[in-house]
Amino acid sequence: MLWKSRRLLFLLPGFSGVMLFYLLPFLEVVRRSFLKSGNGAFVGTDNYRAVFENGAFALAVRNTFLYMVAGVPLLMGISLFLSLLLRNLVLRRRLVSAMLLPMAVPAAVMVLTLQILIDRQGLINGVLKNVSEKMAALPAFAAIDYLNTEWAIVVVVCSFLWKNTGYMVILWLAGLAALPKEVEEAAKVDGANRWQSWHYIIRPGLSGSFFTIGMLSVLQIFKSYREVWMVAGSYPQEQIYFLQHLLQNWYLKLEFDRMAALTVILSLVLLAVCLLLQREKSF
Amino acid sequence: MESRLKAPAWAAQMCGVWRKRKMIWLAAGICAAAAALICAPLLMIPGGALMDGAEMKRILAPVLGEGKGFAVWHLLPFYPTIGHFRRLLIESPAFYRLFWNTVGMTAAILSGQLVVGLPSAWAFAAFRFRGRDFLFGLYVVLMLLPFQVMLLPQYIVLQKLHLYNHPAAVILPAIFSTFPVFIMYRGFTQIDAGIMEAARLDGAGEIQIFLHIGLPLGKMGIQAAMVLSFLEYWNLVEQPMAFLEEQAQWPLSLYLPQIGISQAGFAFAVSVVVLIPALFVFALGQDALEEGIAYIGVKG
Amino acid sequence: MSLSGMLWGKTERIKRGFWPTVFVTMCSMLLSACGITEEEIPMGRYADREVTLPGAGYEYMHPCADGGYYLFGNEADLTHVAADGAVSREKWGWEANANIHVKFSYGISDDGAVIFGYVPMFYSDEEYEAYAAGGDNRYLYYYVSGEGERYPLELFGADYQKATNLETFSFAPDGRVYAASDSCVYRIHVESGETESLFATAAQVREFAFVGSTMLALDGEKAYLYDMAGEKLLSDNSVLNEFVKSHQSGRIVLAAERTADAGQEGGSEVLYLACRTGLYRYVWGGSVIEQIADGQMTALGDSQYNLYAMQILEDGQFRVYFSGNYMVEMYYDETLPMKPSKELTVYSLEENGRIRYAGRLFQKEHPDVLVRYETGMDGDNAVSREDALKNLNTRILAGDVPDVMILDDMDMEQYADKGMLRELDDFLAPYREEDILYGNIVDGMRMTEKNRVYGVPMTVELPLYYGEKKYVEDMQGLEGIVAGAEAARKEHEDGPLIDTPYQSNLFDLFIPLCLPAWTNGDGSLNTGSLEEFYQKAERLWELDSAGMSEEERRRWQQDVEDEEADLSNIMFGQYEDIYNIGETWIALGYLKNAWYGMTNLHTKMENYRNGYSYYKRLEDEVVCGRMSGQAGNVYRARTIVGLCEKAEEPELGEAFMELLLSDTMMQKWWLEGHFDGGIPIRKESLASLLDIHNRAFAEVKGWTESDINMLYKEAFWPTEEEVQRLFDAMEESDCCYRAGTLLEETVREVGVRVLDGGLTPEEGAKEVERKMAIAMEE
Repeated sequence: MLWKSRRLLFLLPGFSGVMLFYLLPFLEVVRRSFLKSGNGAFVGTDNYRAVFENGAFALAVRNTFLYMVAGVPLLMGISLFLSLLLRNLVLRRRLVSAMLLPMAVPAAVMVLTLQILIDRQGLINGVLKNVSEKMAALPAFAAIDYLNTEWAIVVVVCSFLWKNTGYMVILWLAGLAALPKEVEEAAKVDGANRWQSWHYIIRPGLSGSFFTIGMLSVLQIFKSYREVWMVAGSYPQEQIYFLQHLLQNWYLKLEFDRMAALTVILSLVLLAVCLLLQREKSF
Repeated sequence: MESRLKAPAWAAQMCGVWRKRKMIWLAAGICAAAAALICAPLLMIPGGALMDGAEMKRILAPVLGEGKGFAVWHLLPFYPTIGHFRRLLIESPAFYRLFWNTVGMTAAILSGQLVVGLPSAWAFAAFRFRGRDFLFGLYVVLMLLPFQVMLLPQYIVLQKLHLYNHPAAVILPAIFSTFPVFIMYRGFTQIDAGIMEAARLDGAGEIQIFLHIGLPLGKMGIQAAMVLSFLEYWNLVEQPMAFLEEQAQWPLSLYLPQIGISQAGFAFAVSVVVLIPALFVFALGQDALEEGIAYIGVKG
Repeated sequence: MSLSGMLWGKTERIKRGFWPTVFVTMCSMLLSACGITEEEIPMGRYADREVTLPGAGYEYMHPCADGGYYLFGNEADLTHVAADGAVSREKWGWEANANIHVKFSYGISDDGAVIFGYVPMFYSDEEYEAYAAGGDNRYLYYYVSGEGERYPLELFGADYQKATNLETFSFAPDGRVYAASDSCVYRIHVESGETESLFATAAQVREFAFVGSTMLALDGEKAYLYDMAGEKLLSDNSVLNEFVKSHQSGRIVLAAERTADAGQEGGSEVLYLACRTGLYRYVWGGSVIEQIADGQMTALGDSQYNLYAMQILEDGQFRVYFSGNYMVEMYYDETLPMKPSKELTVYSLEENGRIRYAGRLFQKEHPDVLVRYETGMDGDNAVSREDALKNLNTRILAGDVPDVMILDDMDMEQYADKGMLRELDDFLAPYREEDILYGNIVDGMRMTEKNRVYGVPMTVELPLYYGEKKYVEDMQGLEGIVAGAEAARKEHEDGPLIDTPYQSNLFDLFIPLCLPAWTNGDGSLNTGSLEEFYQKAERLWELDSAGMSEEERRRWQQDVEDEEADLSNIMFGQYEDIYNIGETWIALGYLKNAWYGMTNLHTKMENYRNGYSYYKRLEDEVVCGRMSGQAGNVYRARTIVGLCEKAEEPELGEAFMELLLSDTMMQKWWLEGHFDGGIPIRKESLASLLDIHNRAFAEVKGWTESDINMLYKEAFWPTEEEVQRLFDAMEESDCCYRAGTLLEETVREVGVRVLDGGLTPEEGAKEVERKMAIAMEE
């Protein structure tokens, strides 16, 4: 009995803080999602209806979904591939550190760099123009306004990958390091090829990491908002208008009620996905 | 443990597995290329930090909408100047204050996260209890919620606690962030449950198990959590902006002026100064942390 | 039992301890946080009264030990005010003969000796070169003894290598003279002109104080203690160092009290420190510095002035001298509550000097109220407008509403729509009845479906054109402006046409004139007129650019950037409204100053690159008039004042607003020298500003950059007819342009791409429509 209550002590300090600084605020959000912003009158599910009937909401959901569908698997794939290559290298640490660098750059400078690169008259277009002029075989060059055309989503996904690859490599490496080396070595001795050892040993061993890293990729997608906003403003090209643009714009318009409703919807979806994945992977 | 095996591993790669050399070189090449690609845009930073404002304006004029053609960049400025660094390091005393604010804030947050988050992560990983999955799911959802929506209710809580405009307004919520718990948890789940059972049978207490089995075996997770937390809090922008009114308490990240090319050189100089400690953390911090954890584990 | 508790289940033993513990912890945390007890406020605090100085133009004050003081300035007499108030002046005139051009860095002793730095006058290149050989920013020094004996001080002798510029001259009670360079403190021997370097400092020492035999020097980084008798630097005082470090914004001034029993057993020396945050008392050698007056509730916190000096008077009173010829006496008032019982919160997005000033006036009138003036964005940091608005909204949503909001650059309609702003129609009824304000301007502020007034501008700016008659005569509407520009370009192939070095200037000029025309009656976007706007803007930019190469434009921009600061020195030279007809053929801008422009007192600048300017009545062929764009009768509202609906102190808010709309605020601010603040919307204030017989200035001063020579120029006051023209223009203004709307932001953003050639005007209009559609959907 005594040891059981000791176990509880492990969770209690952290949990009380989470309760105070996250759960309680979250409950406040839930509460406000049923009230009208401004006068605080109870309006039932009106706010939820307002969210679902909102045209911008549909656009934002679609875009955010597309961004995730493109960004998360790409990020996970690339970083997993790199970490599989990296894990046996002696210079691993230095290379990972190098890959992490974009993370450490202040967002403002990151954005500045991006702007210089992708502007219609920026560096990338400049280089492309030079290349196309040198090689006559290529079609004539027309400057692309990356941020204001369909390219915008490509820019966003690429900068997301650029910034976060190192981050995810660290996590994959942590997962890989925990795999028992002996099994793999034994398999190798038994003549298993790379594919087999990946398929039968590494992949199953990483199943838990898939969940973690997937969730963190989603987190990073949400976090990339500030940079997108700094580059493209509150009303960017339609394809990079995300849920957070909607949230932020509502906030600026003092419509916290709808914001709260949207948050509740979002967290229910996330919770469902999370629980589903947990069950699926039984981790 | 791994660090102890470094030399033999190196030797094995060089000699024993000679025929695999080609593959390793290929892998190293790909990784180096990826790292180079990732770092390439950042090469603009050192040059930009040393670049004279007029030169920068001239080469970036097309981006500013003030010229035809395309922008170019000089990796090495034609007329290098240390003016930006002088302005930053000598002429702005506020810089040091903000720099140490950032250091203090990050240090407080990271150590707090270790103290609070580690046991929580261990509890989720090592104990089965009813509601665990739900609670953990809740932690994940709270981690994912965008700050924009938490801003208002957190403000209210902090206001009630009289913490608004106090460094604790940023530090405390960060300490209790569920993010490091989530990552450290991963590290712990990979520990074989059998080891713990065996330890329990041997009469080890929960705290001993945590210290001597959990910490050393979960070190990769802890390390990852700390590095990632560092990255996050070193450049924290939104929380201090919302919860700290007084500029004397701000971290360095809020010191960067609003983006404008006229300030670009200065912004680059600031980011060089911000990046240097980060590099140190990557270079030294990882090893130190690893050894520290190993030490705690061995001590008992 | 909480939600999670139910899910947790009740069979496990763990939970019994867990959830209740959590609950109790939480409750106790919250309770302890919320447990604020109401305390009775004790009485008594420092208040201040303004002292009228015996003249103008003072820049320096020296407090004498006997309670009197000296005042001095480059263009002022050396004035002594004795402790009993007797004034004696000593008019200096000998400096011109001594080749002294500008004096500064004064030090004065109790017996009237003066030491100062100066820049000499040069009559020939040789003289200048002889001077410049030792460094062309070198100060020279002069000493005038109390008896009138005077001679130049050859500090550092001929050794230019060692020479540095000295400031902060200070006479110690024993007659020794100290001064400081940016890295060192010196003792000056005025008899021999010898300098003796005492100790190095990290920065320029700005303040000396003498406590017993110790000299205290502050350099903004730390406090240096120097034993004057033993002639050695003493070890640091950590209490003072800490204080200096934590009060780095603005200057700290010092005054030491020499009590009768000082130096004896049980006696103590007391040092008083004053800075923006308040007045502090430090018992010499002690471990605490206690605050005795709060800066916010006294003149000390007034950011409009800089602290220059402080003097200790009898009965615990203090005399504090500021920049701007401003002096107050601080006294302890036992009838005032120690801290004000009420608080008035005023919010604006950006610092507004006028509001800061009004807050100070309000504070004086209501000693029981603490005025808190908060700004969302200040200075050069990462806080963007959106971030500032987000923080404001957080406060509002959390129920922490300011009492008065300055709505400049905010989308005020949104706040009005959400019920955050009070309808002001009732408040304004008395003003309307007595016809105090320009009713048409107030009515221009009507908005939302209710068509009410939620904010009133204190001043407005009117769009104006200048130019030669043949170009500007028919310059009505956007079309007319383009036609005028075409005509001017035809005759003058070179040079800029309108005063728009940057694309953004073009939008600054024309968006206010057209914005009201882009929204249809039902709130939808009128893409047709937007497209037309883009076409015309593109054409104007083309016409303007036709006169210069890209390189020339860049040089022009550079000139403007470099000279912006210098231009503001010329009395009327706010960059945006320079009517530099000599430079461009048509001048467009916004009239911010009732004293010129429309009323014909204007700047004609010739060759302003050389900094030479003069003021002249408009020539016959040059005319000016009210500019219109796609909308007519537009005015730009400035300092829009609104009251919050859920304010905690609604009466105080109203009182503050009354103050803002009063004649005092409308006129006094002007007379304090803030000429670019716009045209007051209070009728009598505008009339009295324009009353020719009421003029304070008879001449206008400017100076040239090259030799800092003053130029005095005659000002031409407007005729009755011209004054009437301005009144008429005010009367007909009814279309308000407010900055900060989303539409404007979007139009600018897309507009830059149109001018760059990335989009055609048509595509531009479509793009704006698309972006606005998302905003509408939200």
